[in-house]
Amino acid sequence: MTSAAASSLLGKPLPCLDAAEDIRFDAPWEAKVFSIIVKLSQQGCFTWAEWVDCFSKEVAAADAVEAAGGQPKTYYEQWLAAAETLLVAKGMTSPEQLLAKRFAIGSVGPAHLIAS
Amino acid sequence: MSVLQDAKVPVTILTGFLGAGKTTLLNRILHERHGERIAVIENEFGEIGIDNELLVHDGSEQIVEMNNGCICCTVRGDLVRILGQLRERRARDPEAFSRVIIETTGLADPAPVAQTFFIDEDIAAAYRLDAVVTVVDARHAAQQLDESHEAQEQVGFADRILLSKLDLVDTAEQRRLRERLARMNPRAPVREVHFGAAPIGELLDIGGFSLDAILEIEPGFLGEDAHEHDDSVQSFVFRSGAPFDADRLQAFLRETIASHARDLMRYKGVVAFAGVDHRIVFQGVHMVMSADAGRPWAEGELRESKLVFIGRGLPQREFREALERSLLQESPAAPVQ
Repeated sequence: MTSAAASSLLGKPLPCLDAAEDIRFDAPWEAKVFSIIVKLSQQGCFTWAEWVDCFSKEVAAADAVEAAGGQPKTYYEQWLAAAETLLVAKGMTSPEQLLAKRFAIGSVGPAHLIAS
Repeated sequence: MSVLQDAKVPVTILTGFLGAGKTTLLNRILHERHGERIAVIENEFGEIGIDNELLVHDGSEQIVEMNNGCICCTVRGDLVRILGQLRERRARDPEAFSRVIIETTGLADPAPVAQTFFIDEDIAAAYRLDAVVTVVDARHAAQQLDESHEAQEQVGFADRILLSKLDLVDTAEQRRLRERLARMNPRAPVREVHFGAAPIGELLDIGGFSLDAILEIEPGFLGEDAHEHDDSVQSFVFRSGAPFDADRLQAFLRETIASHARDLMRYKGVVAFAGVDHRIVFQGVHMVMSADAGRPWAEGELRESKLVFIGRGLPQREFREALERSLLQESPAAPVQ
C-alpha cells in the first residue's frame, strides 16, 4: 500500500466513504478496525482531525521505514497502530489492556477470545 | 464496556447432584425474590418458566458443534434457541424478566451450557454468565463422587459449591468432604444451605467469570489426608513471587490448552509480568479465554502470581516445570500440593 492512497483518504472529511473511492479490505480485521475508528469518531470520542494527525505519524513512520529499505507496515497495520495509540491517548484503553488481549489471542487464537 | 455489560441479563447456572436439593433452592430464590422477574430454564431446557409460570414445552437435548471445527466449542443448540426466544420477548417487553437461572439435570455436562454464553455471539451480546453454582448433597456426596463422572464435572466447573444436608453427617465426615471438594476445586468457596435456605448473595451476582473477581484459593486445599481418593477431576495451583516472561507463559498456555483442551475445565490466573505495573488476569473454559488488565500492583507489594487449573488428569509435574521455566528469574515457587 502506498502512502499516496493514505493521503487521499486523509484529505477526506467524515464519513470519508466516497462512493467513487475504491476502498478494499484484504481481511475482515481490516474492515473491522476501519469501521471502529469511523464509528468512534462519529460518536465524538475524538475528532477526525485528531485521527488524521495520529494516523499521519504512522504513515510517515512507515514511509521512513520503506525509504530505509525496510519492510513497512501495511496500510491497515498502520491504521491499527494509530488506532491503538489514539485510544490509549484518549484513555479508552491502556497499554496493559492491549497487552492482556494480545496475550489471550496468542494463547487461544482470535476465534476463542471472549470479549471482556 | 462496563455500561454495555450492565445492560446484559445476568445468568446463573444451577447444577448439582441428583436429589441434592436444587429445586428446593430454586423455589426459595423465586419466593424470596418475588419482586424480581426471573426466567427459569429447567432440566432438558424444554420448559421455560417466568416466576414459576410454565410457558413452553418443547425439545430434547441438542449438543451442537460449531463449524470452526473445534471440539471444545460445543454449545447447546436447544439453549441457544430458548435464550433467543427469551431475548425477543424481552425486546418487546423489557419488564418481562431481568435475570435467568438455568437449572440443569444432575446428568448434564456444564461445559456446553457455559460455553454457549461465550461462543454464540448473539447470546453473548444479550446475556452475561454470572456463575456456575453446584449443590452438593453432603450425605451422599462421597458415594456420588466415587461413582459419578458428572458429579465430578459439576464440582470442577463450579464457581460456588453449596453443601446441603450437612445435618445428616458428623463433623469428621464434613471435614473430609470439604477437603476433598477443595482439592478438586480450590477456587470455589463452599457454603452451607439448610432446607433450601441460603443467603441470596451467595447465589446470585457472584461474578464467577468476571476478571475483576479476586482469585481466592480455599484454605482446605492444604488438607493433609490428600490421597484418600483418586478423583478424576483435580486441580493444580501455582504461585510465584517471580515475574513471568509474557511470551513464555503465552507459549505454555498455547501448548497446554491445545493439548489438554478437553480435560482443562476451568482455569484462572492473576499474573505479574516483568515490566508491567498492572496485574494481568485471564480466565478460561476449555478453549475459550478472556483476559484484561487488573488492578495495579501497589508500591512495595509482593507481586505474587497465582494460577489455578481444574480438570481431568492434568499432568501436574509437567505443568509445574513448564511454569517454572516461564518465569523470568529462577526462583522456587512456594510448594503447594
